[in-house]
Amino acid sequence: MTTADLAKVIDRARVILLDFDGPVCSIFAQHSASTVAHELRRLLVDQAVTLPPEILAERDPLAVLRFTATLGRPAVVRLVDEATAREEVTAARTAEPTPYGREVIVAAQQSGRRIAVVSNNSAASVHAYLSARRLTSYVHPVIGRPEAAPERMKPDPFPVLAAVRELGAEPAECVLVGDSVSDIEAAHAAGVPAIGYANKPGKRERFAAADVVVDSMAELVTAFAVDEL
Amino acid sequence: MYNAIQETLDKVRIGRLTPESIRVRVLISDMTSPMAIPCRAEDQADDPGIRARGRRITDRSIHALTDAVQELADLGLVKTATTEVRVHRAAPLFKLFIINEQEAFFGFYPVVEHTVSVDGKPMAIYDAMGKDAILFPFTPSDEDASNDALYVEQARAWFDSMWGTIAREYAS
Repeated sequence: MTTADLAKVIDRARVILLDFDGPVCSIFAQHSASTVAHELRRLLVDQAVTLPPEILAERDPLAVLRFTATLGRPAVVRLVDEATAREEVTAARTAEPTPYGREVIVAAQQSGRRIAVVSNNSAASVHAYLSARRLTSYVHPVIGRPEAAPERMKPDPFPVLAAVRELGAEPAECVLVGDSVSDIEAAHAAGVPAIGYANKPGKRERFAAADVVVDSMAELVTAFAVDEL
Repeated sequence: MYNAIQETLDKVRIGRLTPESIRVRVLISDMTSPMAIPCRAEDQADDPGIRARGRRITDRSIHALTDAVQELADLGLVKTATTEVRVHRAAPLFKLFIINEQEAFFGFYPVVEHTVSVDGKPMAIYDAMGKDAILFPFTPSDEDASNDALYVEQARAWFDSMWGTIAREYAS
C-alpha cells in the first residue's frame, strides 16, 4: 500500500467516518480503562453474575460490556451499559488528543468533506470531548454505542449504517478510519471502505483487510490536499 | 492589504490619476510577539512557528506594497513616494483604510480555524480571515455632515493615537 492508494481512497470519499477512541483521542489516557473494567466487574458480581476467567483478566471495559450480552439479562446489560457511559463521560474530560486528529477533522472540512463519528463509546462522551475542544460544529452525526445493545457495537455494521443513513450518503462514497480490526469489519460489512490507523506496533499486520493503512493521522491531512498545506 | 490600493496605484501608473506625492502609512500586528491570534486551535496557545508563518505572509504583502509605491517614484510619475510601516502588539481583528483623510473603509476579520503547514507539519490554527471581509464605506458628502464625516475623523484620530504611542518600527 502506498501514498497513491491512500490518495485514491480519499479522493473517492465525500464523507469521513471517524472511530473516536484512537483516531480522535485516547479517551482513557488518564482515567484508566482497566480501573473502569474493574468497576464494571464489581457491578456484575453484585448482580450475582459468575465471571469467566477471560473476563476476570479483561482490561477493556467494552469487552466486559460485550460479555453481558451473553447473559440473557436485559436489566443487567442496561445497568452495565449506563455505568460504562458514566465512566466514559468522566474519562472524556481528561482524554488525550490524538496527534493530528484535530487537523484531520479541520482539513476534511476545508476540503468540503463531511465528518461523522462512529464510536463504540457512548455518544455523550464523544459530545463531551468535542464540545470541550470546540469541535462540535465540524462533526455530524455522532453515532455512539447502541443503547443497552452491546451486541450491535462494531464489528456489527449497525452503527456505521446508522451514520450513512443519517447523512443520506452512499456507503461507497464514505470511508471509515479506525484503529481496530472491528472497525474494518464493521465498515466492510456496511459496504464502506476502511482505513486502518496503525497507532501501535504490530497493528499494521492485523489490518490486512483494510483498504489502506496509515501510521500517522498526518498522512490523511496530506491526502486531503488543502490549499494552505 | 496590497490588493486594496493596487487599483489606485494602477491608475497612477497609466496616468488616470496624477498626484504630486504618495504617502502610505501601514499599521499591522507584530508577529514577533505573542497575541490572541494567530494561535494553536487545540489549546488556544501561542506558537512561535505559527507566528513565523504569519510574519512571512505579512512580509510578502508589505514588500509588494512598498515596491509598488516606490516604482511610481522611480518612473517619475510622482515627485515623492513613501511607505512607512509600524507594528503593534494587538491581535489582527479588523482592517481599516483611511484615504486622504476623506474616506474610510472598515471590515471585520472573523476568527476561523484552518489546518496549515507549520514547520513542515499540519497544524490546526485559529487565524484572522480577511479575504472575504466586506468593507463598509464611510464617504462623507458635502451635504452630509453627519455620521460618515465623524467616523472618518475618529478613525484617523484612532490611527494616529496608535501610531504615536504603542506602535514600533517594523523590522523587515
